[in-house]
Amino acid sequence: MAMPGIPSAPDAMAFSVPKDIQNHPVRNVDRGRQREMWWSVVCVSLLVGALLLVAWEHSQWRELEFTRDRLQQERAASEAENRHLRLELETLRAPQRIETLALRDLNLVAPTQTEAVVLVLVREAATPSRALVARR
Amino acid sequence: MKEADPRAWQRIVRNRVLAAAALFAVWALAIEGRLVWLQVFCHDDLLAEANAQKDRTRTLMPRRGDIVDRHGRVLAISVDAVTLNGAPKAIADPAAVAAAVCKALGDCTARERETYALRLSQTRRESVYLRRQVSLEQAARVVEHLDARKLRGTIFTEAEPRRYYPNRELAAHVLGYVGVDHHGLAGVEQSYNSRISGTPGSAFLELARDGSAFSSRIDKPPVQGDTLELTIDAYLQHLAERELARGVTEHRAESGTVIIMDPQSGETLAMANYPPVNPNFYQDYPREMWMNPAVQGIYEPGSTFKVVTASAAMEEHVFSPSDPIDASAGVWRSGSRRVTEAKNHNYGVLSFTDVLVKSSNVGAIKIGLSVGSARLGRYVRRFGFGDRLSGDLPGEARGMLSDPGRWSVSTLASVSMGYEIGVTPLQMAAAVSAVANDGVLVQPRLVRALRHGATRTEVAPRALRRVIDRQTAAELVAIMEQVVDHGTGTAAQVPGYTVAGKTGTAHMLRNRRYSDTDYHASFVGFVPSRQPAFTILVVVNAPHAGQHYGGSVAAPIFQRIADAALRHGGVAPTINPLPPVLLRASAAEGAPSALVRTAAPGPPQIRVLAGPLSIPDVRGLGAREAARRLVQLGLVPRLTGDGIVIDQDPAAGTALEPGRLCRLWLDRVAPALSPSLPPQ
Repeated sequence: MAMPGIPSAPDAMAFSVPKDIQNHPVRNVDRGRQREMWWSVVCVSLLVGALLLVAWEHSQWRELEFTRDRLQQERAASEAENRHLRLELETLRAPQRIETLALRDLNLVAPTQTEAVVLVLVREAATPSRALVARR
Repeated sequence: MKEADPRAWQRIVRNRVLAAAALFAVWALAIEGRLVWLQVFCHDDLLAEANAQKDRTRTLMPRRGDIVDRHGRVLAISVDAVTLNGAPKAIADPAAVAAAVCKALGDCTARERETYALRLSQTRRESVYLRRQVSLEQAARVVEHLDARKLRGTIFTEAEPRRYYPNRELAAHVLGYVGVDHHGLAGVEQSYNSRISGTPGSAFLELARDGSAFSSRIDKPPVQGDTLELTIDAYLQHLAERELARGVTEHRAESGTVIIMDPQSGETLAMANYPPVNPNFYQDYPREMWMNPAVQGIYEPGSTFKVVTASAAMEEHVFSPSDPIDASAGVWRSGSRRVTEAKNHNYGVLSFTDVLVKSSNVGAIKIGLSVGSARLGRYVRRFGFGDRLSGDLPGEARGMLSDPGRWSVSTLASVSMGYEIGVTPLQMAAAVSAVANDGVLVQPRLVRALRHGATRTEVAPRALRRVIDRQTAAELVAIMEQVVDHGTGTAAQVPGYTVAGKTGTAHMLRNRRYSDTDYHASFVGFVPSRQPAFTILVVVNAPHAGQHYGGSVAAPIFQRIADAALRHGGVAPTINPLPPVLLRASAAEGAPSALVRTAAPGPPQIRVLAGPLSIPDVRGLGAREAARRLVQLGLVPRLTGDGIVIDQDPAAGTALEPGRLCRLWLDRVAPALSPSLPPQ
């Protein structure tokens, strides 16, 4: 419906103008921003990686420290046990104890001069390396 | 009427805001000022106060080195023990806790229990100590007992080392003991304390509010003390103590001393005293019982000293062994003094030899008077009397020797027969060892080597001086053989061996007077006399079972010790020895493997008495074990690499030479062995 005072366009004219509606915008890639973004990703990754590495290293270090402490404690405990066992061994090997057991429980007697023979071990002398040896 | 200013509220707000801002500024300034005061001006003081509250430096006690005998047998060792401490603030009923602790310990006295209860009731104190050096078993029992009674947290433990002597009384006077503060208080524990005790370390602790450590680090690790290797042979020591105890008991004597020494090296193989002491319970014995009479006890040697008088006379060519000496009447007089022979004998004219063989007092006096004060005094000094010979034991006495220039005739006569001179048993044994050692006085010693890790530092024997000529020594040996053969020392005869010795009987001093009932009975000699292996001194003090002469009290003890010691030492008989048994030594072990020829009829009891004569095969062993084995054999290991031993130089089976360098190559991986072909 035409408005009053404004000439109306012929109907044919209305159909001659095509509708050119750009409703799917094309986004052009901004190479600079993309490069920056990737740099950022790389940097962040590196940073996170470094942090993870430091954290892992620290964790490993702590773990190794705990392991070292545990091994040192085990070693100290083993050494202490070794010393206790040596003490026990020497207590059991005490000459007085052995002699008492031998005389009282086993009815052993000390050998007399005729019952024991002393052997003197004499080693054969080695031939001197630079000795003069007669040759045929 | 004046119209109200529409902007007045703005001014009011602004003023109020400014006032508030000013207040805030003052407040902030005050805080900042306070912070500056605390952080800048009081920084050092507050830091020190904070550190004092949370930081602790704890001394780490080193483990004391072991003491071993000449064969590596442990004589003293430190093991872990604990100190029991109480926390009074956590204890509601001190008496109940004390009773529980005592019940768990099992060896508490009523007095100790009361003391524990008293200490645990000191509620102002954070901790009180109850008992030190409790064994781990006892400590575990205490903890278990308290847990069962829901008293956990009332008692806590603190680790500390404790010294044990597994052989109890064996060589107790030589070893000494260690006090609760880990310092040696007698014996070699005292004299070698600086070497055995090690170097303390330190640890840094950071404490939480409740006193528990939340952080710790070892600033300086403690260094373990050296291991002391003594010259003592544990078996010979036991032998000496056993026979001494038997002799003292048989003769109802007060005390006694035995020394066994190697005359060539001066090594003291045994040093026994009676009554014995147990260093594990050192506090149960009075301090004077810890005096070592072998080096600290001074006695008048009596006739054993005639060896010195005779040495001087022969060395100065005053007498020869066959010269006659008139000991007729059996009495010697000087003014009011009168000296008689033992048992009032009258020997008449004796040869110089027989003066010693029969132990004539009158003869010895006449020899001494002929030698003179100056010359006799010189020889007394040369034999080591009046000097400390060995520095291995604390408190060693010099003996008592007056200036020979001031000797009267009476003193000279007394010294000639072993009176008016004070000697220690060690000096007497060393002097007779000099005769046995062809006239050379060797320093007696108790320490053979010091071991620190794999490093073994040997203490070399030290010849002090030649005292008498070789010929004089040989003539003296012949005379001393006769003493044992048909003189006063026949009870010291050892079948199969020649023995040289001298008896001694001396009145003991009681209240500055010579006693007529108490004597020092002694015998000193060496065996076999021509190739001496052992010098043995026996001193028995105040025997009261009828006999009091050295020949009847001390000589039998000497005989029993010498007999067993010779067998233990593998010394072949010197009188009518058996024909030699020839054995072929195995190249690998150095031990006899096959009997080639035996001249003795019947199967003899064969004892292999020699130790390993070749370097052992240590391949496949760890570094520590390999080094330990080589060090025990007197070798010096030099290690390259780490892991297990894969090669060694010299090779196993090479003749053993003490002190030789032995190189070991170590690796983590054992070398692959080439497969051996089965025998065809």
